[in-house]
Amino acid sequence: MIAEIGHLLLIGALVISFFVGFSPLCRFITKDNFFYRVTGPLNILVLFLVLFSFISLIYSFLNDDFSLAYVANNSNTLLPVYYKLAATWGAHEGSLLLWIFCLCLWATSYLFFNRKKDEEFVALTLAVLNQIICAFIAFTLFTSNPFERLLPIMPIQGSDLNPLLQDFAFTIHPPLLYLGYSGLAVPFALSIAALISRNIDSVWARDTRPWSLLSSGFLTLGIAVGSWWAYYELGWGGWWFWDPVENAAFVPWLISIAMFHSLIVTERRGLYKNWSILLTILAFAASILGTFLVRSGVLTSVHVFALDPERGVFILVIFSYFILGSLIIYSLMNNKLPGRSTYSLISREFGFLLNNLLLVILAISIMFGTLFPLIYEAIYDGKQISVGPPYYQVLILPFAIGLSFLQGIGLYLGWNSTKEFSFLKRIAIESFSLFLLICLFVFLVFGKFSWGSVLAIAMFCWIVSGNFIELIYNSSHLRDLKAVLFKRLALISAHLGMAFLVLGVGMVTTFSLEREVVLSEGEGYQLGDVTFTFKGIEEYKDLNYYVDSARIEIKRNDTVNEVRAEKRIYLSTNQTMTEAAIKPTLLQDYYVTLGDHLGDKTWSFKLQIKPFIRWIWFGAILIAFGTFVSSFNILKKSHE
Amino acid sequence: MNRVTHFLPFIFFIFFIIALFSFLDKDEDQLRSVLLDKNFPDFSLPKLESQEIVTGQDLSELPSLLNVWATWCIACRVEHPFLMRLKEESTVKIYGLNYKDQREKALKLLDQIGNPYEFSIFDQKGKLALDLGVYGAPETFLIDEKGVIRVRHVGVLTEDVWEKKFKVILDE
Amino acid sequence: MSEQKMAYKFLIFLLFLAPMVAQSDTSKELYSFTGTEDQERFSNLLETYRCPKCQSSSLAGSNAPIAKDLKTEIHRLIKEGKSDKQIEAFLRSRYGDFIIYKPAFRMNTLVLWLGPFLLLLVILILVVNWNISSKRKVKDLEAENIVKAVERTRLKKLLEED
Repeated sequence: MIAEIGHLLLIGALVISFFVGFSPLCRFITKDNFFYRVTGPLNILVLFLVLFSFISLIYSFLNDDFSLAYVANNSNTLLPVYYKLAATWGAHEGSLLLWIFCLCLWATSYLFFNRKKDEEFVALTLAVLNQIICAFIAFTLFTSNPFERLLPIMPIQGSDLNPLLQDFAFTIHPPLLYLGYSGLAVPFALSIAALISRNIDSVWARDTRPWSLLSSGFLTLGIAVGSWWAYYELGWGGWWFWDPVENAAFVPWLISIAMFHSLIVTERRGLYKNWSILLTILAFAASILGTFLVRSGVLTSVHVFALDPERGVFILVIFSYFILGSLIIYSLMNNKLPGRSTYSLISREFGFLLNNLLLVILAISIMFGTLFPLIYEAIYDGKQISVGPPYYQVLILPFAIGLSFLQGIGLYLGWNSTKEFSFLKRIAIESFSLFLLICLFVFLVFGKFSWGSVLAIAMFCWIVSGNFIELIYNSSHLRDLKAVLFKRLALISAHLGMAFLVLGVGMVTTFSLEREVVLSEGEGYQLGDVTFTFKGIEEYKDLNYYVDSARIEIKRNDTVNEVRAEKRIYLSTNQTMTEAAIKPTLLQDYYVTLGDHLGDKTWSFKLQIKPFIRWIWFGAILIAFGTFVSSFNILKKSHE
Repeated sequence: MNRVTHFLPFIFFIFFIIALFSFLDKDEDQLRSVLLDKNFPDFSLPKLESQEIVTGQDLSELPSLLNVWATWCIACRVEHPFLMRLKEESTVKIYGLNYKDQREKALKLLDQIGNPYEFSIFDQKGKLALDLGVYGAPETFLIDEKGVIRVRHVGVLTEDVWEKKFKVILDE
Repeated sequence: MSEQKMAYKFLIFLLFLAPMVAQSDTSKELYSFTGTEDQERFSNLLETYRCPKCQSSSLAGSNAPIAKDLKTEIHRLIKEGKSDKQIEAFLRSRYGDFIIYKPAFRMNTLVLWLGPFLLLLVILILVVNWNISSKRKVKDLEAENIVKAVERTRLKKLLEED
């Protein structure tokens, strides 16, 4: 019964969002401003319809309503309550409902912050957003309905949530990621509204930037949590694989960063108007493309939700409508006055242009690499090729170096031209000093040397110098410094976050150690300067699985820790999961996975040491923090 | 000039979308063998049924199928009845490749459910399988009269697969 | 590590400047090698090759039986003294391009390897060119205006003299 109500509510949301979507058209025909005024309240109605529809699905999960196909496929009576909740968005159909709900949240947030602004513009923006909401509800109802019943034969027990997903990080990863993906619809809608009302100006740029920052921030967190989850859950010690679905999130993230940088130039200098608009369209396109890649089955991947070409067709139709539609409007109604490119090549404008160039070309290249196997197969009659981490690591390096360089000096480039160049010498000296210190420290602690780590340290020092040390130098006294740091908190946090991320990536890529060993109870093995000793194994049963739990002692100098590496067999599906044992420290992680039972009290283990890996996610958190602070600052100011 | 450049993104995306639609058409979900149209690799391994060593020469009744199977492979049981049928109804002989298995277990299984193979190669370490580019069981190869590999199917061999993939080549 | 210990270690390294040799018990290793170079090659190769059975995983990240077999094979090949190129040829002849995560550098993958950088270069040149020519146009315009202004004042003077 509840599920039927949820289903009806969703249908209601479909109808109303459709109406809102074409309200401006009605206004255009009837000239009645009622159609503008009505978009706000109806948008809120859509939000509540979707919310209660979502709640009804959650209710079905919590009540083990296995007459719903979706619940039966993804839940189980033995599943702990909090995972039943998370199972709501654990697979294709339910995750779409979450996506739609996120879209509604964004639309309503936009409405809230802009309710006193120009009626026509707000109505246009809401209309576009609701068209998107409508499209996705249609997709859900027609191809992926979570409320589909299995009656008359209802299973007594469900298939259970994939054990890989029975995990805290997994409960927050999709919501964060979807907030990021769907949030990119807002800048997109704002662009369409600006194009139609023929008003692309600084105010538009300032109003659009917070939404691109917020989406970017959520994407940052979503991707970071996904990476962290993969690290501790999948058991092979990796944190990023350039998997098609990871790339599907990384590409919009890169474009969103280009977008909010470009909007700064549009706001401050009135330049790059067309380019900023194009970026919002591109970012949203990348977002839908990501959905398409994950749900259509064109690319096989550990992540892929549903292998169903029919769904792929539907998403592509949605993609075509919004992207081709927006591009037609762009081509016809964009800013016809050519922007005057009279700034010096050593100016902040050009710096931002280079930033955009690097980010967007990197994004396009990654997308191309992801699709390349498909293109190759199509051209060469079925011959298969793979494009993986070794390619992307080579690809990203020059771009990362270029972006890091720009990030160090960006603050000191002048608008239109740079008059003073002493900052260059100072930053070089500051970063070189820091560089020597860190290299020495790393060499002493890790005892080895590699060009990769040297490069990573150099990039780190350059960014930290430009975004922190130089700022300290520039302020004559403490009060000055505090004011500067506070004013630039967002920028410093985001850029320093990037520095930590770069350092973490570089160090973990070059300094990781791993070894597969066979140990009997009591035996140990030394890897690097760490001794891993197999202390013993226990067998028992937990909530919904049986487990073999191995105790490993990790000893480095005088520090001793004990961790547990496990192999679990889940009762419902008979699936075996490895739970890695991880001991994090400030500078490195110790990582142990249990392998095979090779004999009496003898097991194989994979031992790993991962230096600086936590710095990657720490950096990501700083970046997200920076983008959130920045967006709140702008929203606060524009709301006054 | 300016008017046209403004339309470039639109034009690009039209082609891009067409390409994406074309990608939806593919239905191949297995790895294509690179040994197609190449000679069957050399090998020297014992038979499953005895200690006798066999080599490529012993796969003499060509054209024939080589079926990769094991006692731990559940899907192999699913295709087994069809293999038995092929043995009865078709002129094509089937050789087995017992993949990473235990001799006694394998012989016992054939005893229980029937032996569709002329003989099985006992590839305990999976060496020949590796040379064949095998990555799991079941897999089935078609070797033609000249000893050239013509077809490789990954997964259960069904009537449908037999007709569409194997028989078409045999009829040539 | 205390300050003193750090200093000692530093001195030792200065004195010997030897790379750190893995003091590991190779008898316990599943895949043992003599020396760190081969060990690193092995780790590297396991990241370069794909598990044929898994949907998306390198050999390093997979527990599938075929992945284990391939690891053993690569281990054997390294111990036999085969080079990375030979190992690649061995694997490619059995599993094709699919198994190599680093696409080969050939004619039909040129666009993949060089494309991004060429695109970057081309657009950079276009943008810089546009910038310079815009500035020149503005300068020419200014020069024109100056000439016009000069002529105007001259004309004015002539008219005043009348």
